[in-house]
Amino acid sequence: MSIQVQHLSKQFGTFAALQDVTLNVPDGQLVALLGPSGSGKTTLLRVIAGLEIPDTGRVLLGGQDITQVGPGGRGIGFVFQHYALFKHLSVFENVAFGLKVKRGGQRPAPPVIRDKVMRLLELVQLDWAAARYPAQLSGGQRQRVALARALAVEPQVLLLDEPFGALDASVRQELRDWLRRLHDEIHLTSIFVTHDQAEALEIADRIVVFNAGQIEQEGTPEEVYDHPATLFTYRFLGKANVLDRAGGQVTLARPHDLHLHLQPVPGAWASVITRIHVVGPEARVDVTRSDQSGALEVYLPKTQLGGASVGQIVYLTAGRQVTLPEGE
Amino acid sequence: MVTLTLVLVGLLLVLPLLVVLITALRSGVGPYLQALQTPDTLSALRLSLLTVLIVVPLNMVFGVSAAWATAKFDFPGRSLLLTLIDLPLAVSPVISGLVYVLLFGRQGWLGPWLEANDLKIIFAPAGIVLATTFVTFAYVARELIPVMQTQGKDDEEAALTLGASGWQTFSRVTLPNIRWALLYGVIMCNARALGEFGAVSVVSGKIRGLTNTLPLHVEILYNEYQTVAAFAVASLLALFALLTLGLKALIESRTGHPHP
Repeated sequence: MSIQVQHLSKQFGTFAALQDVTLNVPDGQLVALLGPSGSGKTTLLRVIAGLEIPDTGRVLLGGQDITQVGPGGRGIGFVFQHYALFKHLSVFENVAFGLKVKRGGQRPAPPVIRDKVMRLLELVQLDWAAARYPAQLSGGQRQRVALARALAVEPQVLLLDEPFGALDASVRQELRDWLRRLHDEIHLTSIFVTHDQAEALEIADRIVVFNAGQIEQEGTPEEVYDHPATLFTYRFLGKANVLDRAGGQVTLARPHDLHLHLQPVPGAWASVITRIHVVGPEARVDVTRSDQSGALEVYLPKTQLGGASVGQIVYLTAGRQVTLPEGE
Repeated sequence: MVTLTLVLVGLLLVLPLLVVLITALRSGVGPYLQALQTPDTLSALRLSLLTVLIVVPLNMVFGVSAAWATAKFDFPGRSLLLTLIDLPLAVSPVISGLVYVLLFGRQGWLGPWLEANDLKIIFAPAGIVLATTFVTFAYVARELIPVMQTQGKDDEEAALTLGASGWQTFSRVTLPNIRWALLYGVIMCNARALGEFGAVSVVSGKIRGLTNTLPLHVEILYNEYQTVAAFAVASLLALFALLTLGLKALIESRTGHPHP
């Protein structure tokens, strides 16, 4: 189901968490809210969930105004960064919770609940852990239980607040890929909050970049990465090398778009290598241009290093460059 | 260091307990049991238990609501409420008792109105219940607030997004999360309510068979040189104390960490 938020504002004391935010999320998409901490992305997610009440503005779900509806009546599933599993309940009971608190005739019969919970636990590959308690599971497993619990009430929309933020790198990567596959299977409109640009670029259909309570830019991962509208977006999405500043404009290039030559090349900047750092198959080289202070970072395959060493003079050219107005 | 601690604990804590038991049983088991069965003792026991039965549930409800409100929500006056919860711990119990006399006594602010409506608080069980409630006000809340604050709001919010009502959220999520701290607070509140002397002694009037609680009864018996009887009743209180300690130890072994 589509989600629309219109002119949302939310103030915490003197801190403006959201300022006139308007956003459309089309049906069936996986959208990332990306931004530094305190930029308003989590507040927006909580407003959509009904966990925060906006000062002004409206929230629409499938075209219907739900601004005044409580969190339980919106048809949303919410996944918390720290899982928020009920510690005193087994995995099975956690997933069954949303079904068991349904009132009167809406509550399914116990066999129906059992079937449904077991089906969801199979979906998150944890059917073997039904009788366990959250404390007996790893972080990644807990987050999958939390996901199954949120899906049990058949939400129209899935909201995930930094869902992988509390996990170690390898589990994070695994769960990230898994979430993308799950989304391709069930096509549930989903919004997730993250401050990790790689995570957003990897799995989202659309990225919404937040800065200081406002939407900085919105688009597909390629659009946002290749055509950043502002310096803030450019810097937030990856490492930025400043090549030139003139007339309020700044020219930048990513480390992969800078090239090193051992012999002079027309139009190249003479530079000196200050540091070489090899990360797996990739070499990260710091160079300082003779006409500029400060280091630039160049990433290239280790095999193309060609015996370059620290202190050596090299010639630097730039491939893709972006020129943006200065000031964030 | 350990030896010194053990000697001190022995002298200050274990020895008095032994003295109570030895003195109570000095004239044999017969007089001991007899002393416990006099009408005045039984009446004091009844009043003490009645007080506890009213005060503890009252403070349980109050403590849970106060802890819920201050730990889960931020509202104007929150820190004032937190300070007020601590007030009974800061004020001497005798002063608390005197405040009630000044409020509800014959010469007090509300005295004439109470008299006109034939209501008796001071020198009556109602006053004892009130004074005990005040003195034990903070016990449950103090125990719960830090626990609830550490737990945060995530679990409750999760329950709400899953469609649980406010009451379902409280009974199925919040209460199970705080059950051990709550039980601990209730036990401590219970122990204090049973043993309270200062505040109760001011409002009670010490009318035998009517407004005497167990601690007051011990004092009266002792002042009348009925040493065996006094210590027999005291041993009853000591027994409750040991029971409390046992329960406390049990909870700590269940939750795996000692409470302050």
